[in-house]
Amino acid sequence: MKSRFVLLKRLLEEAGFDPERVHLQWASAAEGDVFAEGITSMVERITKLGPNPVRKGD
Amino acid sequence: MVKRIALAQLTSCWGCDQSLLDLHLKLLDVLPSLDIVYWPAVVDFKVADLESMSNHSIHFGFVEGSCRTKEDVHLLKLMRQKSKILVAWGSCSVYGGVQGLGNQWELKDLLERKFLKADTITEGRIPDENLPGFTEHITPNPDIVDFDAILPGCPPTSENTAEALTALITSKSYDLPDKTVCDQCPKERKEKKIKKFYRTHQGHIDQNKCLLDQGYLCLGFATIGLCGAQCPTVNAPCKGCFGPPPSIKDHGAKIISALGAVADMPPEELERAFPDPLGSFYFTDYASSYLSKIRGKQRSKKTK
Repeated sequence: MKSRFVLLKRLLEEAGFDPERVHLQWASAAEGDVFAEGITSMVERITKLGPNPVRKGD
Repeated sequence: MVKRIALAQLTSCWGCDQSLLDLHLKLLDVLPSLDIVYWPAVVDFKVADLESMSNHSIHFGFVEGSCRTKEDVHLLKLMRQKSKILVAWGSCSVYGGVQGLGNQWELKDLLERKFLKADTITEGRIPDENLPGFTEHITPNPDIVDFDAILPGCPPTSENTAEALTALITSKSYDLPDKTVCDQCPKERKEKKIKKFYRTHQGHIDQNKCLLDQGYLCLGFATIGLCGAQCPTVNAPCKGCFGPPPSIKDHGAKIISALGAVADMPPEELERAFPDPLGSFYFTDYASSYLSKIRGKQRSKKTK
């Protein structure tokens, strides 16, 4: 899975997207805190990046 | 009944025409059933001749190449207007072709690179007089007009085109097979565990074994089986020039998904193995990928 993700990020980057907009997180059903932390950190990161210039439906 | 046929060339290498002509004497089987009304590669009809024909007066229209110029777009729409059955002929027409890789950059950057910054150029200028002008990016032809059949390939083999033509002449349907190049490849396959990827000039290829098993990026597993596996059969890894089989929506996504499963190496090493991932995974079909289409949407918004 990690290998695919690394390649996907490269594709996004080459195609002109900010790879920071994509986040991969492992969290089991027993790891609520890890899940919450992952989501929070992603939200913080993409809020800083601002709206995606290629929003769907526009 | 003799059917009227037109074959139009947009931005392309015209290799599809070469491939058709390579039928040689077998052409004689189909030619008596056809009346060529437009085919600039072979006969001297002009666009004006095509324009003067009445709508839907051509039985079969074959369009090769993609729309890099505004003239291409005009000719494509004209072919749709005049043809009863329109066929996207070759990977340029179906997916946008190799020139679709240009969609990674803005038109301005492409023009500057070619006309001003190329090593061989002195006193460069971007030509703009008496020219039709370029399109902002390559849009695959099927996203511009409707097609009745598609025949990918770079080029489609002589037999592919003959088969499609024969089906049309005899009023049979022509559907693409949902098989891959691997299904047609004679090499021996084992369970894949790739420790290292090689460029084609590195190492020694074992002629009897699967090229991907040996660490060469052979894309047969994600590519439609129409060509008869002619490259892997002679030990040249498949570059995926025919695009994916109908059941695969995004060629590159399928490829990275599969590579992730068979590569037995740290992710970072896998990443380093492909310095040009878009060029390697979308050789002729980047313009039809999700990534390129999203970028295209962004671009048209900007220019509005």
